[in-house]
Amino acid sequence: MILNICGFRAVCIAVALSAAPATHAALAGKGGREALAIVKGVTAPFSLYGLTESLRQIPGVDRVVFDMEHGIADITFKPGASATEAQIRQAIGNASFTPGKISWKSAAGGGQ
Amino acid sequence: MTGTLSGRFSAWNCRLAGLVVWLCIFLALAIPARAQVTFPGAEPIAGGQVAVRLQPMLTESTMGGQSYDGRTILQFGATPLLFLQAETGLPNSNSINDPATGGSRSQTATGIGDTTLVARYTVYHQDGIGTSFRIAPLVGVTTPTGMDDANGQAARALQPGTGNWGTRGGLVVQYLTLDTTTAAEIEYRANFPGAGYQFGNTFVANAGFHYKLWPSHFAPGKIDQFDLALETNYSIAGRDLGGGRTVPGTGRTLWLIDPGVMFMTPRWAIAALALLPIDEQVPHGGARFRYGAEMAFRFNFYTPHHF
Repeated sequence: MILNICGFRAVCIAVALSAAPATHAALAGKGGREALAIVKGVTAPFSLYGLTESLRQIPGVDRVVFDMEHGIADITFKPGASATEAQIRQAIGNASFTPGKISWKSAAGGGQ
Repeated sequence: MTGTLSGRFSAWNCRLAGLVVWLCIFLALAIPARAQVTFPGAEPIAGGQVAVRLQPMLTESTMGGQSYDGRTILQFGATPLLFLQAETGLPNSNSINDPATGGSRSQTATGIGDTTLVARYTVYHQDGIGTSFRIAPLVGVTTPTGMDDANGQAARALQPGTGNWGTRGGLVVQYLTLDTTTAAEIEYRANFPGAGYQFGNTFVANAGFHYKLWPSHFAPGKIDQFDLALETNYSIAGRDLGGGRTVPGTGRTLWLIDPGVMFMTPRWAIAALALLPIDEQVPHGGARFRYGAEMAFRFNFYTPHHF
């Protein structure tokens, strides 16, 4: 189950995740929470660099993998670490992009 | 008869010039665009993102003219919307056959070029999944830090530095998708007299289209990209003033088309474009642009320190 999902947002995440289920499952980190954040405006590798570095500045972030086709940042936290949605949104905005829906899941793949 | 032909030619050039300007305005207004090579884009730059660009350009003109512009550019995302850039020629070198010797002897001036500081602010951006439309005006100042007397025997226009303060103002519009980038820019550059010489003011209109050739689709985490690029540059330069009089052979209208390729990764990018003249008007005694090449190397860094 995924937190903060209702209405249109739920549809967006469901569509986005169902489009690449295997890859996102494979990207899930071990032991830490994982956030999937929709990021609007990312179109090229070079400007993506600023986004991943900005997200890595959030304390506790272990890894960031971006899916260009679906505009999803897969943010894996170190065990025991987490962040607020506001922190993630701020990091995305700082990279000059527009944040969308953010959802959470645990390392085992289940939501909270 | 010659005058009639000249008039027709001139009128045709005016139509072409008008077409380019209108094309740029149309692109700027209607087809909103990725990083261009020969002119500034409006691509997103994160607050704290630092990019170093080495952008050497080699051109050849008639009268044995050769020019190397070793542009070195430092870019910094001061905020998510404000982008600062410093650009200088390291080095610049210009040479041409000396008309006074009947072209038998070449004059060359080599040294450090002027430094230009530019600020670009994104006033509007509309982002979607894999798309972005951005409008960003830019202002800049050119400082006469270059060597305007690197070779005392060479003409002033050959010196790597202008010796002039200058200002510039422009507008960039870009529409970016996962497969294409379309961009347009208009810019006006004004020069002020310095050291007894004033370079002519210049109007510039640029447009560019990049098409992603590879990969056909991005796999998660796999984001390298190879683009085909087609850019075009149109410029109208006023005549230079030296000692209160116009300098013969200066001032021209030039329209270039630049086909090329670009390879990008998140950390670095490399591009190469040919600079080919479509149309040019030069006054009597002026050298005509023959061809050129421009390369670009970009490296990304990040610092958490920004505004």
